[in-house]
Amino acid sequence: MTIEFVKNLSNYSQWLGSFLIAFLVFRKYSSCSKEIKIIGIVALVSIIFQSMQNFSLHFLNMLYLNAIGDCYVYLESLLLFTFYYLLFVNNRIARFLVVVAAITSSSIYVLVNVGDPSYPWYAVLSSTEGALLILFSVMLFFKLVKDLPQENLLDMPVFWINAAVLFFYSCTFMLSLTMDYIAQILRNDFTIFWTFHNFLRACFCMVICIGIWKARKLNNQSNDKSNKQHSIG
Amino acid sequence: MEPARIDFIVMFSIATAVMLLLALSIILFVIFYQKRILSEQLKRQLLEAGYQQKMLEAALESQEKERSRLASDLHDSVGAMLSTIRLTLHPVVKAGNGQPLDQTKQLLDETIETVRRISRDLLPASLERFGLSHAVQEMCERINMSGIIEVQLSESGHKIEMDKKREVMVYRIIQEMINNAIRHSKASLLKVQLVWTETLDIIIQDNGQGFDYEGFKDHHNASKAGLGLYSIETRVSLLGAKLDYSTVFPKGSQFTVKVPTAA
Repeated sequence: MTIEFVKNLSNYSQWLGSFLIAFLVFRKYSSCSKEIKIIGIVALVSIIFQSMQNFSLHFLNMLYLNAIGDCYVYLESLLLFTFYYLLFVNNRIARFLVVVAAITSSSIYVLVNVGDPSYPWYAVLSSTEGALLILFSVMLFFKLVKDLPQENLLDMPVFWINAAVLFFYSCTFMLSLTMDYIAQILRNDFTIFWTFHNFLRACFCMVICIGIWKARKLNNQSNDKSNKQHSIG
Repeated sequence: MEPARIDFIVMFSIATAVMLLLALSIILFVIFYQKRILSEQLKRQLLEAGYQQKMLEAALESQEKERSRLASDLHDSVGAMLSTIRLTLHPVVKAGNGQPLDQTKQLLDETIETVRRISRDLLPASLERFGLSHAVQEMCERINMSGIIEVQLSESGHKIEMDKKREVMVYRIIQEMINNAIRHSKASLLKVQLVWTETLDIIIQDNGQGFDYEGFKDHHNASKAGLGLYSIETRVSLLGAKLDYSTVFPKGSQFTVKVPTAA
């Protein structure tokens, strides 16, 4: 088993994970909640950008395009910030922080495109996104604990999606911080680190799939209840 | 492998592992914290429910005691006095031979009978002496004799001895259900069945107009009325029994109460 094979495997597994999320969400898009729809769009964006990157690597014989990666990280962060904005209902401070985070990300993205190209912008952009998303996921967990829902947390879709975000961005935070250092100094090991990132991303997708499955289950249960009420009436 | 590279990989692995552990500990903390708080809430709710049950039991017990005191006062003092009046009136009626006195005596007889009936309703002596089945039978016979409604009582199965307090509660449930049927159902026939199995199943069926049980409950919960139904439900809950209602609108209704024979 070569490194190249493992790298490809990780690449396809994360692609498959994103595809699975998009499939689950878009199969019954109208019945999904706004938050789940956002997650579906994140997965769709991920598929499109991964495909673009693979296309440029294989067919155009080009190297990894930073522009595609940066744009993807920026779009993903905006979508995930929207996800948290929707979840922080009745919490003005949290919503304000999400808006500030989106503005910060946008500012960094502008700097990526107009700033000094030798500066490690990808590390700044992705680690800022990671830190902010870790902060929001912890805040959402704090909100969950404070609100104390009566149902089992493990049956709540938001819990799984938030846990996936916290898990993935915590694990990849160090990688995001040191990405440019790895790319420049440990050039030969870059593939290994990126493979590690891809496998984590595949796990992230799988945990989100559990959340979507739970959302589907809840949706079916509420539909069953309303059907029963109709038959009684 | 150069030392700088090794150092980086080691530092990177430790930092990532620490981040992962932090993330996992946050997730686990949230799960266990919620479970702990919910179980504490559940314990508190159970304690409150137990306390409320005891309060209800105490309230019903004092109600029964008050009824018993009233019944004996009515029977022993008012009833006795009325009987004495009747006895002293008897020679006057015989000597006077007047119609107004005859009417007075008749009115007095009716009053004595009413006092007895109220006293019996308040605390049927037969319930204390002969048990639930006999008391229910006596109640049904009394209603039949009044001619308000026809009551058919049937009993099947092997009787199980019940605690006196539980028997009184069951008796009150049957009494309240029959009263409700007489007052509201506009029925001409009432069937009362006592089925003794592992539980005591009380089935009360009438051929009246039927009624919307859930609607009635909602409406009366909102207006804090419907004391009869409330008292039935309270007793049912204290007995650990199960109350079912079915209607064959517009041809009547049926109440079924499954009472565990042991507390």
